[in-house]
Amino acid sequence: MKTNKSYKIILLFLLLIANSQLLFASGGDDHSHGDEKPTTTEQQQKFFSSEAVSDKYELLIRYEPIRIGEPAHLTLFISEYATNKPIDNAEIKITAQEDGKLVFNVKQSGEGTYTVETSFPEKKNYSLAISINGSLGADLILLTNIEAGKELPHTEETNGKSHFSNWKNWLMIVLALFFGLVLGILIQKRNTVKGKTAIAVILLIVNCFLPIQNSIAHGDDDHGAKKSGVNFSNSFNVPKETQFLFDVLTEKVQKGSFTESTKLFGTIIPSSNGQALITTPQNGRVISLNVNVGEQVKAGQQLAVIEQNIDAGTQVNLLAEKNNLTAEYDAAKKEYDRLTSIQDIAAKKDVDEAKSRLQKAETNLKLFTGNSGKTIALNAPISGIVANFNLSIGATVNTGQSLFTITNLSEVYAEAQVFDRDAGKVKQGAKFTIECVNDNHKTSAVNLLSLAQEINATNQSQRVLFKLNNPDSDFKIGEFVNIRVFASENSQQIALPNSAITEINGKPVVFIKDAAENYTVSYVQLGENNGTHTSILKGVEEGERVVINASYQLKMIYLNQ
Amino acid sequence: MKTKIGTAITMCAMATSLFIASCSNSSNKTESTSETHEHQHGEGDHHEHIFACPMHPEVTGKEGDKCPKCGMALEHIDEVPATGNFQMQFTSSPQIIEADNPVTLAFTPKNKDNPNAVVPLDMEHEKKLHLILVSEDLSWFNHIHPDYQTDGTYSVAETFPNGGNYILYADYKPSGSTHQLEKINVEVKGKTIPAKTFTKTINTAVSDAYSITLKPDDGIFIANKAIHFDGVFTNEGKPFDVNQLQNHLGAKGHMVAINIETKEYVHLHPEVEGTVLHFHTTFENAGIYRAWLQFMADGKLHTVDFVINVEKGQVKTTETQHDHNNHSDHKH
Repeated sequence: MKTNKSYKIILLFLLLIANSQLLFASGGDDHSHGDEKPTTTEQQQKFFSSEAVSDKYELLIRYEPIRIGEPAHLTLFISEYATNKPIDNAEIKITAQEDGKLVFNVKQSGEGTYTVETSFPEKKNYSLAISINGSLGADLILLTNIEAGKELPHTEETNGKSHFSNWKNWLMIVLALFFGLVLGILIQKRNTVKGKTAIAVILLIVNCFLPIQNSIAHGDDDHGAKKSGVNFSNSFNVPKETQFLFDVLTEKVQKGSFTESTKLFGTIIPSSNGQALITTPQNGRVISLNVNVGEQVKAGQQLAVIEQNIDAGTQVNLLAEKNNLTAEYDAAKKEYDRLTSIQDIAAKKDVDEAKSRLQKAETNLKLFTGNSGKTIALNAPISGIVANFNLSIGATVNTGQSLFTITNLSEVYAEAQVFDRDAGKVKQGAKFTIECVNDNHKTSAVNLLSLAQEINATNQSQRVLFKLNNPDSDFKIGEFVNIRVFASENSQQIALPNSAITEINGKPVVFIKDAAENYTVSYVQLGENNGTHTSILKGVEEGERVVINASYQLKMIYLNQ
Repeated sequence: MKTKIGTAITMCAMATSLFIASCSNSSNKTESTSETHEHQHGEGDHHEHIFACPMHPEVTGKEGDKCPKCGMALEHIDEVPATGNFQMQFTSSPQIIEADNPVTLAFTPKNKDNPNAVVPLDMEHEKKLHLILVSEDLSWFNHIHPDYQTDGTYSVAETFPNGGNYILYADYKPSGSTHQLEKINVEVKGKTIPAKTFTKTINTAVSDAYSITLKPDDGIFIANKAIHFDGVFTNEGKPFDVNQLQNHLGAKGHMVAINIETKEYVHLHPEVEGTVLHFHTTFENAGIYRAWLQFMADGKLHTVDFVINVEKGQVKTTETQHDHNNHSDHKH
């Protein structure tokens, strides 16, 4: 019992420590974001850069430290300001504001990338006036702060510090081990009154200190973020080359007319004359098969021929029946011939009777010979495509067996469940579109065919039918579709293409371009989605540049930073 | 039993050491972050942070202050821009401008200190050069944006409606320098119409379904004093939330006010507070001002005009020695 209790105490203590460890670990995580900065400075240590924008173009020049009087190679990136598309084959002239005689050689070296060769004679800050004649027209932009002769900053100092702190770390660990040892001994002596009080006091002290220490750590956190001036967790760098490679495109946010829409769920069903099932009228044997699976057939085209199947008994009966009929016919004919030859003396009534008897016998015989052992041709009732069938020549088929299905997908129906809330919006004259749930195909050639006549008793939904043209057979029977009903009124809202919106930690975000190589994650509040665009209620301002292409790649870069 | 307790002691010791190590670690990291920051700061600018109005660089102040001339929030600038000696060279083709005939107006910014160098311009309100055209009697107004051409000029085509004198205000900011405003007088040949006079205050203007009323504090506009007035919108008679307006050239609205006598030029950008536009400015002279407000609604640019009567306020000592041309060049 006693040992049990002691273990409980130890366990409790360990749990407390583990708890605090977790908290500190998360604190450490945040700090590691702070650590990002040195790596970015390391990146910056390789290059200097300067950027400028106009209403047409965005320029970024990147250069390694420039040695005075020696050939310098600078890389100039040109893209469209609003869309971030690289500008190729632009005519570029560069003049230095400080020195009109400087010569610059500009050559395109890649997508939107140009190399600039020159030699700076003095150690100072140059401003370059870049004259561009590209796909968006002419422009003149000044790139300032080209620091010729400037060396990269050193980082040895911080390294020395970290060595020192490492040494300090070790000291702390040794001290802590010692402290732990003392604690362990105390626990061992838990039986004595002194030991008990000592443990209680230590536990109490540790408990009291934990929250305070936590709050101190968090205070430091905030301080760090504020000091650096940038919110590390939301902004990140993407080099221009990467942007061009991934085709990162942006769009300037503008308020525009946005049509709200309502989504209905539906299923594609064949139109009233869009599907035909061909069954056999009689038992028989397939003697001719004129179509293949997947073949396009016209209405009236012969699909197969079936020969009636007769067993031996029936055959005998039939033969006997045929003989009877033939005999009857012969007898009737003889009788009729005899009576006509003695027409003058024979009673008119007898002649008429014989005639009608002969006619009856003739019809019966004709009927029998026409129908017995006959072949039946199966024709296509509608135009369409022959679905998969399992049939071969010689196969026996039974009455009522379905042989072929012909489907015509050029016009199909969509059946939607409409609930009371949306029922008012679904009316003749409204604009509808249909899109597939799984695939991307969609159509706007949709008409409301029939409004509900009755309401489903189980879920109180109404069954509404839409007719849609489906010339490319994109929609298949049984496919799940979303039907959008557009409101007739537009409203002025910020709307972004759906490709701009992605999710981080389950929350919708967009990426906003702040500078040539700098992007920010912005959490947004989404409004209506009308299939192509989603209105943004909060999180994006007019005039901002939002990434509309390759937002997934940016998300990966952001998450991996 | 003994060994078990021994294990417990060791576990305790290790856990405590880890706990403390994590503590010291995190504090170390904080240190290094702040170090990096200081370092960066050192290699950046050595100036104190300065906040100045983006349109009136002579107005400086603290973070969060607003410009008393145009009401814009002061922006952080790294260094005081050099006040260059700039001039806009103006040519027109054809050289003689005739009413009702399209003419190309071409502007070339020049630095008088360095006439051979090209002068790149910064974007301001989404354009590099804002050109305000008014007839001398201030009855006709247009706001256009010449575009940079391969020959180094900023050009735009325009057609003047009538003969007479016109004033062009070129509003631009050479890169790395201060904001410039230049007044260019232009004579247009052709049939003239009698000059209009504006004496009566018009504080309400209508465009399509929109009606805008300017409401100054205390009901009057006063010269030489930082004043505030509201622009209250209604749509089809109902109160209209200006947040519904689209941005035009980076703002919900642009107002240009010109004094009839002195031709003093004021360019204002309102702020949106609640559901109305808020204007902050200082009119330097008393008298009649013509004001034009441009805003974007329903995908269409609306221009409405007002007549503002600015009452004399405090006594202004320099008023008598005022050189109007110089003044308006300097201001703005």
